[in-house]
Amino acid sequence: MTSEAQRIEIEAERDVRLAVRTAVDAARSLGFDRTRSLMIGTAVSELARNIHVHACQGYISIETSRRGEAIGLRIVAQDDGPGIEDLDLALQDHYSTRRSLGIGLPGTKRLMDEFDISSEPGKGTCISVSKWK
Amino acid sequence: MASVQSELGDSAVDCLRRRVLDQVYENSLCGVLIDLSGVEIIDSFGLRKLVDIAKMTRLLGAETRFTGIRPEVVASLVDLGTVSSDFVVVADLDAGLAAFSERT
Ligand SMILES: Nc1ncnc2c1ncn2[C@@H]1O[C@H](COP(=O)(O)OP(=O)(O)O)[C@@H](O)[C@H]1O
Ligand SMILES: [Mg+2]
Repeated sequence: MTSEAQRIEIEAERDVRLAVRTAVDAARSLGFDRTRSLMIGTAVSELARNIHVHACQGYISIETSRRGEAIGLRIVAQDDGPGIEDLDLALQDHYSTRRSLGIGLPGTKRLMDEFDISSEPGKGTCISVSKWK
Repeated sequence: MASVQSELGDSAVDCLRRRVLDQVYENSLCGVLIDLSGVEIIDSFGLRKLVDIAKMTRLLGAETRFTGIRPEVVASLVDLGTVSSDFVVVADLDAGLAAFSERT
C-alpha cells in the first residue's frame, strides 16, 4: 500500500539536486534519522545522475510504502533511454561504459534495503529501490 | 585551505577545482586541505571530481588532503565504496599541517 508519490522529471543537473533534496526531506519527515536519510539521498543522486548521463531524461518518483507494520520509502527511477545490455556487468563495482567510477548501481544496491532493476536495450531502464525504517 | 559549502553539483565542484588549481599554481603551494564539513551528499560523481582534484594538484606539486567529513555522511561513503588512494582524509587542520610538514 502506498500514499501519493512525488514525481520529479530529470532533464538537467539541477533536477538531480532537486530529486535528492526531495528524497532526503521525504525520508526525514517519515522519521528516518539523518544518516539513513542521506543514504537514501545518495542513492537517489546515483539513480538520477544515471538517468541524466546515460539516458538523457526520465523521472524519479518518491513514495511512502507500507508492508504490514513496516513503513519505508520507495524510489522508482525510470527512463526510455538506451537500456542496459548486460545487467550483471552493470551491477559490478567499477564497471562503467563512460569511464566514470562505475560504483553507482552497486553502491545504490548497498545503500538501500531492496533493489530491483529491469532494463531492455533500446527501450529503457526501470529501477525500484526501498529502504525500511 | 578550501572549504566546500553545500552541494557537490557540477558547477560547484568545477569552480572548486579551478580555485584550488589557480591557488596552488600562483602561490606554489605544497599542500591543499579541502574541508567537506558543508557537504551532505557525496555521490560517486562528486567523489570522482574530488579525487581528480587531488590527482591534478599532485601534478602541480601539491598534495591534497580532505577533512571535515560529517559523521552522518560516512555510512553513505562506506556503502558507495570509496577506496581510492587519492582520497586521503585527515582529522583536522593540525593533522593536515602535520602531514604536509612531514614531507618537507
Ligand atoms: N539509466 C540508465 N540507462 C542506461 N544505462 C545505464 C543507466 N544506468 C546505468 N547504466 C549503465 O550501467 C553502467 C554502470 O552504472 P553505474 O554503476 O552508475 O556507473 P557509472 O554511472 O559511473 O558508469 C553505466 O556505465 C551504464 O552503461
Ligand atoms: Mg552512475
